[in-house]
Order: sequence, then structure tokens, then C-alpha cells
Amino acid sequence: MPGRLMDEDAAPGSLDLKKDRSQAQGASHQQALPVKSPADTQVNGTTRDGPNGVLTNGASSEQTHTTGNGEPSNMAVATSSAEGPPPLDQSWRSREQNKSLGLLMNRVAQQCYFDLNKTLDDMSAIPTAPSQPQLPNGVGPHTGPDTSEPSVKKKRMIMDFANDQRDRFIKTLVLSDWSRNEEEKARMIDVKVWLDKQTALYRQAEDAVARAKMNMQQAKVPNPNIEGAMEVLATGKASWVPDLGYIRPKKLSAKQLLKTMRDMNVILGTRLSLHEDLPFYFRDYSIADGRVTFMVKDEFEVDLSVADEDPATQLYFIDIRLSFEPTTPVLDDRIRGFLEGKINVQLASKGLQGCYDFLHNFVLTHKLTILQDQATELTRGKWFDCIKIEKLRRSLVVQYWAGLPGPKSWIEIGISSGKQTTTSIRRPATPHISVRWFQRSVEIKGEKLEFDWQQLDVEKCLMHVIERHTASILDDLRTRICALVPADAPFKAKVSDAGGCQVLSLSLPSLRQPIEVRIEPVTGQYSITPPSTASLNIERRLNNHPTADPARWLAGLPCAVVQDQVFKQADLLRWSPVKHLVRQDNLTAVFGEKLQHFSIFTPSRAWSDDWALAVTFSLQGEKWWAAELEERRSELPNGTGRIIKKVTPVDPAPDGQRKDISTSRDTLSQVARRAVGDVAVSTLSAQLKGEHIPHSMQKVFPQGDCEGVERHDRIFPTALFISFSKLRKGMQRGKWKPWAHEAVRLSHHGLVHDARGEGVGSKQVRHDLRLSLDPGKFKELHKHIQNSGERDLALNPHGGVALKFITPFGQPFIKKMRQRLQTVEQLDQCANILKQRHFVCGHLSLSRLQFTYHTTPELSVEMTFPTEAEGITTLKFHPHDNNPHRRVKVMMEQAFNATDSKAFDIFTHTLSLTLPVLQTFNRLEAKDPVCRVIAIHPRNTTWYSIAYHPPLPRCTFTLRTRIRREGEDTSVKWIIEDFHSSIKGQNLPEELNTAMQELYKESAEHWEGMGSAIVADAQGAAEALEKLDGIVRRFESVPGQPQAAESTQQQQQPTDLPKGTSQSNGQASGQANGQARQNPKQSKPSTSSKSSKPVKQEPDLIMLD
Amino acid sequence: MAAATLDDVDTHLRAIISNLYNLIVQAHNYQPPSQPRAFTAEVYATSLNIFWPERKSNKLPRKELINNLVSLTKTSRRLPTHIPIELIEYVESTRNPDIYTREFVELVMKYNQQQKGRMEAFASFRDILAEQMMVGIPEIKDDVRRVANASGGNVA
Repeated sequence: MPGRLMDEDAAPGSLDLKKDRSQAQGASHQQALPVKSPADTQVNGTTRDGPNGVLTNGASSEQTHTTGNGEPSNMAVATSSAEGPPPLDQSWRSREQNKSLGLLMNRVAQQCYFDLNKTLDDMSAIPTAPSQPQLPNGVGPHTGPDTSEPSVKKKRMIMDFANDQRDRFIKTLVLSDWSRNEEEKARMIDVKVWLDKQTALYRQAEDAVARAKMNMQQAKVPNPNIEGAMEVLATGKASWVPDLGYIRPKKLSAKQLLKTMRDMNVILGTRLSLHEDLPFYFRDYSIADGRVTFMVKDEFEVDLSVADEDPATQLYFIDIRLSFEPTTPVLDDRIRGFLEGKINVQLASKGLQGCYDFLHNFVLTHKLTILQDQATELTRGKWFDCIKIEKLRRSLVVQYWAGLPGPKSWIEIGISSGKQTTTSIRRPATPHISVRWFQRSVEIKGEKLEFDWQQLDVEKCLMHVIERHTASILDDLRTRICALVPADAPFKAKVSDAGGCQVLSLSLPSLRQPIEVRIEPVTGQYSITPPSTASLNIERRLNNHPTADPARWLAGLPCAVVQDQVFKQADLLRWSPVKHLVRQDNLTAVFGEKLQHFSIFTPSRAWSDDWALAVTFSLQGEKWWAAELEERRSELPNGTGRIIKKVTPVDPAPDGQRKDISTSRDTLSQVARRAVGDVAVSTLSAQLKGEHIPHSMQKVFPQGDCEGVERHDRIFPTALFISFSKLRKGMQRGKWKPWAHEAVRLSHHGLVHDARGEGVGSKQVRHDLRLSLDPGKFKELHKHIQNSGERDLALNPHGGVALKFITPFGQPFIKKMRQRLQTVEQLDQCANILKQRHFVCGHLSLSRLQFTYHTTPELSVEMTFPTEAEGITTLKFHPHDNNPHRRVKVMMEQAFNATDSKAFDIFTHTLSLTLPVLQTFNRLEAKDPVCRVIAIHPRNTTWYSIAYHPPLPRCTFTLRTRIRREGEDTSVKWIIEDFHSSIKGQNLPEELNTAMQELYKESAEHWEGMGSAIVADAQGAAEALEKLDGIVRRFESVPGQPQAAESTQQQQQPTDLPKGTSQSNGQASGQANGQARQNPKQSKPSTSSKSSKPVKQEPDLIMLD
Repeated sequence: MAAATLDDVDTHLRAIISNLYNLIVQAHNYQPPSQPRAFTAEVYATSLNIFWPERKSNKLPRKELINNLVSLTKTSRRLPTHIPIELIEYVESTRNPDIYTREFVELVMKYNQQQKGRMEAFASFRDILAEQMMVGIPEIKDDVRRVANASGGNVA
């Protein structure tokens, strides 16, 4: 049975368990392969025995309930580790190679089931039809063989399946049996694994020992060959070196040598001329001393020679010299040997052309190497950090200006093939050194760089390139700057070569020296001279911002420098920059041009807050402006600021002299002076316009006749021509006749110079007003003015009048002009009056008039006119101590100032009128200097009261003037009367009264008694007073007489006075009194105080006298 | 679930083997009309057993092939035993695993002897090297001695 099976299933193909297992894993592949029987019954038999045997061994029952593979053994090892060997490596147990038996069985069972299903399916697919007829036959069971074909087939199928599966399960059973001892076997494997490892370690150890031995080889010092050394040193021979025993050739004699050489020369000459095909660059050669020397310019000279007459043999190398510098002086033997070998090979293979090609390339490479070395040397010297060198295989890249930001610039020195695109040139292509140049990463083509390849000097090359680069940069800059500037501007920019260095010089006429822009060759940085704050600033910006537009910055630089210069000069002149200037946006509109650089100064305090001097700088030169400022609230924390309201240009110099404009101090002060003039004139003009006074402005230029004038005063910026009558009329009421021509010229003369000679501190400006008099006017005035030394007024014989005004700067002074003109008129009147009265005029000027009105003793008065319109004229009498008019000085001043048109006339008249009276007063008072018996009180310039005190009889007289008209003539008379006669109830002592009455009846040449009073002219009043005094003094009483009335009388006088004045003064006191009456209210406080003053101070005055 | 033992597995294996053996015998002697029951007891009934396991398992306990396969599967899942793959291959090619075991043991013995020999060789090499180094480089004599002694040598 089995045998048969075996026979039937002899089909080869052993079952692979793994394969089956994989098949089992994929459940979907159930029917993939028909199961084949591996049936090997013999083996089966043995295996069946095997497991049985094992089983009977009984594989100790303790092992059957081991849970894990190695865990119990692990424990055992661990417990025994205390005294035994260390635990073994058991990592192999968890590896892939150690398979789970349970999983294996599982898979086998699965496979069995799948195979069963498959077999049954296959069986059911086979029809069993042939066997069916047997069933209805009802035949009993037969022992005969089953002959039905399908049946047999089915049987075989099922038997195959069963056999196959049985084999498998038997094998599984064998494994299971084996596994009963599994733990011990696993321990065995542990040991083996450990031993394997040990083996590996031993191998490593062997390796390490061997390697150590090999490494020790180096540490060994070979033994010196002392013996051999001794021999060589002692004998000079090395006996162990074999001697070949050559025989030396015979020496050639000189003759032979020469002959040989000549022969060689001939051979060479013949060969080169006839047989050799000379390369193009080897055309230059010479033959001498048995050798031919080929010379290639700037590269090398090579000596070649022949060894044979046969032209087919090769030439041989003899010597080579490099014909450029610097180079190694002599090629040393190693290089020569190397070259010789190479050249000979080339000569043998490629002839002269090969020799040339080789040497040429050698030289080119050598040159490059030299350049590279030089460049490397440069980086260690002054070019450190400024160039960067890159050595490529056969080219050298030198980047210069490495420190500059932005794109790089460099040159590349390399070897180009020398192939020409044009075919017209006949010389064959040969490589040569070529240079490529990159400026800011852009290759510059077409520029011919002149490098010297004979004298190699990379620094020279570099400088050459940098120079070209610099020139192109500066030229470009110049073009761009010039494009920014209008063609007619005085600004000039040019590029020049100064000592091998390109310089861009920017010049403005006002620059003392042009600004020079250089590019530092080594670093590539801009440098600007002469140094200044602005140029340093620009320099720094140029060097740090490579992308910005340097032209724009440089264009602004001259302006900035000029501004700087102006600022310095202004500082020296003590000009101060205007402070609190508010930012304002309409500057361009104000100035009418675009402002870039702008300064504004206050040249001196005189300029006040409303005016300033502005200067703008551009490439068209600087412009000066007088600027009018205006207060303006601003958002600034300090509140208000100022803005520029209006500007008017100021010419720094008259036309035609612009070329010498500079920013010197002279120019500045000149500008300031001109500006002062302009400002002053324009201010005045504005006011004149406001008052509708016709005027015109004209420029005035220095004339030939003012050469003697100081240089500072040579500036006459503008002159105003003003209508005289309108100007004068503004103040005049009533009738007035012009006394000068209509056109009046006002010219400006700058700031007034102090005694210190500096115009800085003063706030005053000077103007001259020139008039032409109508003929015949001001003759008298002219006479006196001439020798008065008057500085503010000048007249010339031709009728010219000049007035000088010194006024605060920037303020109009029309009022003052008018006043001054009036004063001039008045002075003329005064002069005329003095002449009429025969007074001697001592001094006559606008401010002062002094004249003598009495000769013996000489009495004079000095009048000081007010300098301002509101001032009063003051008087001063001479001699200082005993001028009789001192008594009435205050009143005379009041009277003078109170009148207007005829004041001087009245004043002079009063002087002569009162003089004898006042002189008499002095005499009377001088009679008794100790006792105050007489008191004279001036009430007025022409009204005095004379009071006597005890011991003289108490009595009072008044002395006053009265105008008497006799037909056409008016004469002024003095009237002396007893004060008390007009007051009832007051009586003089009887005797005195009678004496007075007698006096009142007398009369003399100059005076006349009128019964109750005396009327006298000026001379007679003095005499009458003398007489009166004599009478009063006769009644001198004894001391002790009651004097009770004195005080009451004294008190009465002021109260009585007005009444008396009003009664008796009448017209007699003339216009002076009338004038006083006109404004009693105005002058009351002053007159009352002044009238009370003399009363009280009278004694003091007398005492002083 | 407690781990299965090899005995449990063996039981099932043996049952399956005998099932299969019966199957072969029955198939060989099969006469279609005469013995239908015996065959189905081994095969056909097993099929029923799958479809009605609860009913059939009572009537034919642990006798049929399929039933035994199922039991084996269930049991073997719990079997913790691992065996080397070399052994499986050995059995696969129908060789006696005990021979494998014997060869293995012999190999390990051989290794052991080699190991011993090497140890002795290296030990003597160490001693010789140490002595030579001490002679050759007297400066490190003490160091060499200390190293040698520390590694189990005995160097004077």
C-alpha cells in the first residue's frame, strides 16, 4: 500500500515547509498550488522512531511547563552567577532565526485544512457517472478492485492529500519531540555564541598585535653605516661602487674647437636656411659659437645646436635665458634639467614649432606666476585689505578697492588664445597674456590698457588701471555736475592730472581755493580738500553710500563750503545768526528761487528784530538779501518765532565788479553796509509813500570827486529824490514859501561809526539831505555856519545845503527831517535878527546858538536847541556867576519855548530891554549883602516886584513893561509904581509916602514921574530904581520895630498877583504874556511851582552870588 | 490563558496523524456502495462538523480530522517553545534532529578546546612580551610589570 503510493507519487520536488507556510499565510491563495507529496517513507520511519525515542526519554516533566524559552535557564544562570562565570549573551534567542514552534504548528494545521478543502472541491468536480449504472443493479459489495476511472482518480487524490499532510504532521511531531529538551539545547547555543565571540576577539587581538608591530617599524632607527662612512671619508672612494672603467676623451685644442664651432655654425646656418621650417616667432635668430640663438622679444632666448650634419636629426637644447624682469637670475639645475628633457622631446617630435610652443607657454605661465607672487607681496604691504587676489589655474584676478561697498572692480590677467577674428593679419595665432577689466562688475571693453610685459610689475599695472578708473569716475562726475548747473553760472568743474593723480576741481568765484575731489588710489575712497566740516561730511557720505548720486552731493558742496566761509567771517564780524526762525514753507516763493543753502544773520544790534541779512548759496554764486522779518506764532515750545516776510536783493558790489567777489570780511561788511542803505531807503520810501510825498529812487555810483573819501564811505547804494515842498509842508500851517529847489536828494551813508571806529555797536545810521537854495537865501546863516564847525549842517557859497541825519536804523525819520528843516529856517531867522540887533553871534549851529548881547561887561547867552521834536530849548547865560539874566533864566526859557514863530525876536528884545533893570537889581542887592532888606521877585521876564523889609520901611514896588503905541512906532516902557497904591487901606509911612510922591513928580531924560508911577525906558528904569532905592533907604528905622505885616504881605503877594497882572498887564506885556494867557491851564502846574520857587529860593540865590 | 505544553500538542498531532492514516486506508479500500459511513466518519462528517460543530462534536468527540485540526490550532497558539530555524530546515530535509544535536555538541566542545588553547597561548605571549619589553625598554619596566600582573600574568 505505501509502496504503491510511493510508486505513484514518485514525482520529485521536496516540500519546503517555509513555502507552504507562506502559502498558508495568504488565505486567498488556497488553490494556488497542488500539494505534492514528499513522501519518503524510509525517513518517515526513522523519524517516527526518533521522536518516539525522545518521547520515551521522558524529557523531564519540569520542562513541559516552562513558560518561556530561556527564562528558567536565565534564572538558573543568574543564581549561579555568584560563584560561577558571568551570564552568557542570550540575545540570539529573540532574533529572527529562533522560530516559535506554536506558530509553526498553527500554520501547518491551517495549511492542512485549506488543502483538504481544495482536494474535496477537486473531487466533486469529477463526475462519477460511470459508476451510476451499478447502483440500480442491486449487486452486493464486491471485493474486486475498483475499476471505475473517476473513482480511482478520486481515491488517489484523497490519498495523496492524506499522505502529504501526514508527512508534515509527523515532521512537526519530530520537532515537538526535539523541543522537549529545548532548554538545554538553547543553553548549548548560548555557549557556542559566546565562543564565537571569543574567537572573533582573538582574531582582533592578533590583528592589533600585528598592526602594532608594523607601526613599530617607523620607530626603529636604522643602524648607521659607520664602516662605509669611514671608508669614504678616509679614502675618498667607495670601493663597493663598481668602476666602469671608461677612458676620457682627448681634449680638443683651441684650434680644433674653433674649427668645430665654425663647422657647426655652417651646418646650423645651412640647416636653418634650407631645411628647417622656422616658426613665425623664431624668425629672429643668430648663429654663433656653434649654436643658434632664437630670440623672442620680451620672453626668452633659447640656444639650440645640432649633433649631426644630417638635417633630419633633431636639434638639441643648450641654454635658455628669460628676457623679462624681474626673474630668477639663473635657472637652477633642476629646472634646467627639467626643461632640457622636455625641450629635447619637443624638438625631437615636433621640431622648432614644438620647441617654441612649449617655451612660449612656459614663459607665459612663469610671468603669471611672477605676477601672482608680486600681488601676494602687495597684499602684505600698503595694499593690505584693499586688494583681493584670486589665483586660478592660469590666470590672476586682482580685485582692487576691496573695502568699498557695492559692486566689485577687478582685473583679470590671463592667457588668451590669440586667435584673431580677422583673417587679414598674417601672423599665426599664438597665446599671449591678456587683461580683462571690470569696473563695478561691468566689463570694460575697448579700453586699451598699457601694461608692460617686459618689466613685470603688478603694482604699476594696478596703478595704471586705477588711474584710468579714477579718471572715468571723475569725468563722469564732472559731466553730471555740469548738467545740474546752468551754463551761465560762474561755477567751474574740471578734471586735471596733478602729479599722477586725477583731480576733479570745483571752483566758484567766491571760493578762495577750488574744492578738489580725489579718489584715493589704494582704497578707492573719495577725499576732498581743503578740509572743512561740509567736505568731511560729504566725503563720509560718498564713501558710505555707493548707490547714492555723488554728483548731486558734490554739486552742493561748494555752496556748503562758501556758506561755511561766510559763516566764519560773519562770526569774526560778530554777526549773529537769526534765532527763533520758524520753519516756513514758502521760502522758494519769497526768494524767487529754489534754496539749498541759506543763512540769515543779524549783522549788528542796529538791525533790530525786524531786519536781517540773508544769503543764499548756489552754484551761480551767492546772493545777498535784506530780509524783513515778521513775528509769527509757532507750534514750538518757546511760543513765537519769526518768519521772513519779504526779501530784497542786495548787490554785494556795484555792477561790473563781480569778478573779485569773495567771502572776505571786507565783502561781508560792504554787503552789510549796502544792505543797511537799502533797508533804510526802502523804509523811508515806504513811509513817504504812506504820506503821499512824491519821491523817486536812484542808484548812485561813486563819482570821481569822492576819491578822497574813505573807502568805507564809498558806497552810495541808492538815493532818494524827494519833493521838497511836500516834505516841508507836512508840518507847516499857513503860509510858507519854499526856499529851496523842489528836488531834494537824500543819500545814505551807512552806520555811524563810534569813536572806537567800529560800526558794530551803534544803532544809528547816517543820511545826508542835500538841497539847493533859491538864490539869495540863507546868506546870514551861511556866514555863521561856516565857522561854527557845525557838523550836521553845511552850506556852500553856491547855495547848496547839506543836512546830516543820524537816526536809528530801520526806522523812518520824516518827522525829524521836517523838524530839522524847520530848525534851519529858524536859524536863518535868528541870524538875521542878531544882525539887526547888532548882537555878536558866537556860535551858530543846529543844536546851539551863542551870542553876545552886551559888551562891557561881556554878557552872552547860549541856547541849546532840542534834538527831539518835543524837547525844549535851554538857555545858559555867561558869565556864569554874575550874568544879571540868571535871575530870570527859567522864565525866559518858558517864555521862549511857549512862543513859536517870533520867539527869538522877542527873546532878543527882552534881553536888551531887561538888561539895565536887572543890572540895577544886582547893584541894589549888593548894597547890603548881610541884611536882607530888599527882596526882588521876578514875576515874569518883564514884571518884577521889589520889596523892602525892616529895618527899612516895609514897602513894595512893582516894575513892569507896557507897550506904548505912537502912530506907527511901538515902544516898550517900564512902569514903576508902588504896589500898595493900588490897594486900599495900606499906607506907607507918611514921610516915605511924601518922598515918593515927590519922586513921582520928578522927571529926567530917560524917565518921567507920572504922579503915582514912573514911566521909563530901559535906561531910565535903572536910574529911577536907583533913586527909589535911595529914598527908601533914608527911612531906615531902628531895629525892634514891629514887623507883623511882613508875613501877611508876603502871603498876599501871590494872591494879589493875578489880579494885578490882569489889570495892569494888558497889552503891554506883549505877546509873551498873551501867549502865557493862552494856555494858563496847561502851564499852571509848572508855572505855579516855578513861581513859588523863586520866591523861596531868592535868598539862596543871593547868598550864592 | 495558561501556556500549552508539548504533551497537549503532541496529543493533537498524533490524533491528526492517525486520522490521516485512516483516511488513506479507507480510501484505498473504498467501495462506493458498501462503506459510505466509515469514510464519512473520517472525512464527510468532519465537513459536517464544521457546519454544526456543537451538534457533531458531541456525537463524535475528538476523532475527526477537522476537529483535531481546530484543537491543534487553538492549543498551539499558547505554546511558548521556540526552536532554531536551522533545526526546522534539518527536519525539513528529513534528517534526524538528534544528529543535529550531537553535531552541535561536538562543535561546541571543539570550540571550547580551541578557546582554552588560545587563552594559554596568549597568556604565555603576554609574559614573553612583557619580559622582552622590560629588558628592551627599562624605563617602563614598572609599568609593564603592573600591566602584566593585572591581566593575570606572572612577571618578575
